Amino acid sequence: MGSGYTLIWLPVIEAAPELSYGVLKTLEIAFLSSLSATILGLSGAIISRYGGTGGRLAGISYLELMRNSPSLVKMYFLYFGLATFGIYLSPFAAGTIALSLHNAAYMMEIFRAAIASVPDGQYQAAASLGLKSRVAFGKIIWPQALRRALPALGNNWAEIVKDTSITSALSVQEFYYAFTSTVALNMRTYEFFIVAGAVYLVLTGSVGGFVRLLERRLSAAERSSAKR
Amino acid sequence: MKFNFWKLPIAVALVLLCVGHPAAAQTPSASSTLQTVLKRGTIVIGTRSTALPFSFKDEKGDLVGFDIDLAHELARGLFKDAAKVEFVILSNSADRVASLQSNRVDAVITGFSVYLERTQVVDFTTPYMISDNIFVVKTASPIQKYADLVGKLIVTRQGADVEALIKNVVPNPQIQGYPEVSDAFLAYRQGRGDAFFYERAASMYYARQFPGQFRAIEDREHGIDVSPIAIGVRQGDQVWLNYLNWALYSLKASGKLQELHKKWLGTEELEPNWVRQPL
Repeated sequence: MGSGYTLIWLPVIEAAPELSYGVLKTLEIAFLSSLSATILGLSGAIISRYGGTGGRLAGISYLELMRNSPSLVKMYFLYFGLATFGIYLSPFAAGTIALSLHNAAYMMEIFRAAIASVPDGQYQAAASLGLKSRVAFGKIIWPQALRRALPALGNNWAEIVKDTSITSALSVQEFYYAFTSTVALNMRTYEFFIVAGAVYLVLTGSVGGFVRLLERRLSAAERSSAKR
Repeated sequence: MKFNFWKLPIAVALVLLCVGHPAAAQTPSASSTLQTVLKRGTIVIGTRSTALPFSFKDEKGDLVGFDIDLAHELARGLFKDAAKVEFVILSNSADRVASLQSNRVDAVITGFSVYLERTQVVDFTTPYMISDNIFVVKTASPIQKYADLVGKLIVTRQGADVEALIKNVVPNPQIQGYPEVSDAFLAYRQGRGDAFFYERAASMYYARQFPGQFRAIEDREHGIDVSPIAIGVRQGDQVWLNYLNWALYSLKASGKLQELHKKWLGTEELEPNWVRQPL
């Protein structure tokens, strides 16, 4: 690199308000997308597990449809594609919906595998106790499945946090947008990349911490119920 | 969770990059990019493939544009062979300086606008185009002058550079920015926003694709800062910068630069006047 590059941090400090606003927007998109993707994914898993052949086929179709295109392509379709038919989604809505639909497919597979991993004996034991199938699922199957699903769910939530950056392609003014916009003027690429790396590290690190906390609480709950 | 740490190696690599290059301590002329280029026998140019009309892919997928022709002219001057150019495609505009600093390219030619902030991290040649930025609206739009733009949604490329220019003439503008200018223009064409704003050569190129549908807003009372467009090189290489400046001078003096302006912009209006014209 030429005769040495000096890191200058003033441009980063000056951009702090825009960057902070961007972080908030990123959190907003990540939270909404994670929540709706998780709910959609769980519903999808239940439908494909207990919905008979129709449910299973619907689940497989959704999975293949969503898994086989990048989320950016979905965003472009929702934003620019639908606009040609007169349907104008806002950049924020198009980005959040695309992330939700895309990740719901992965979540569905995670929940499906977790539910399938609960041994058949658990269903039989619940039935022998006279539990109705809905109660058996809620009280016996689901808690075990959730604990098994958590590590993979955590991966996916962290993935969503990072994928919020893709919504900047639709002019959503989240963190990546704020960061590339400021770099476009001052070209302080290194300074801003270091900051961006640190910000995403903290954001995804928090997701990791949250998942570990959930895991600990769930296993504590299991131990105390086992003692009873 | 180990995926949290995937950014760590990148940060370390960035820090290592900043430590500096041992070769830089040699005598100025021997360590100049000019010598490297002459020895190598080709010039490596960093350029974007989406910057109409500067550097972009045509229908056949070939890299064409004002800047591509300019790079070939530089090669002709260096090696008497216009074909001795190697293009490195930069995936985004932030890559323009990073590619120079990391020694991946000898020069960046891709509609590179000169701003004081940028001049602190990269060196620019004298400009080969003096452009400015304009608002483009649909022909039927009621917007006639800058004052009509107050409170309107302006569609443009993402970037604090562009936003600052808009703020000069429209107070508290509402801005919707896209990473690609082509997406910004598409969004405006689809009916998002009230006006499109960008560098003049690019804007006029887009508008010309749809004859009669768009018009520029000319508000001579309130000029927008000019936007000099130049070749970017690594900082601290005065030998190379000096060579490129004289290469541009000779292109201007021979009329070749004017030819490129006519070919890609259809006008000589944006040609710089830094050479005294022969009487």
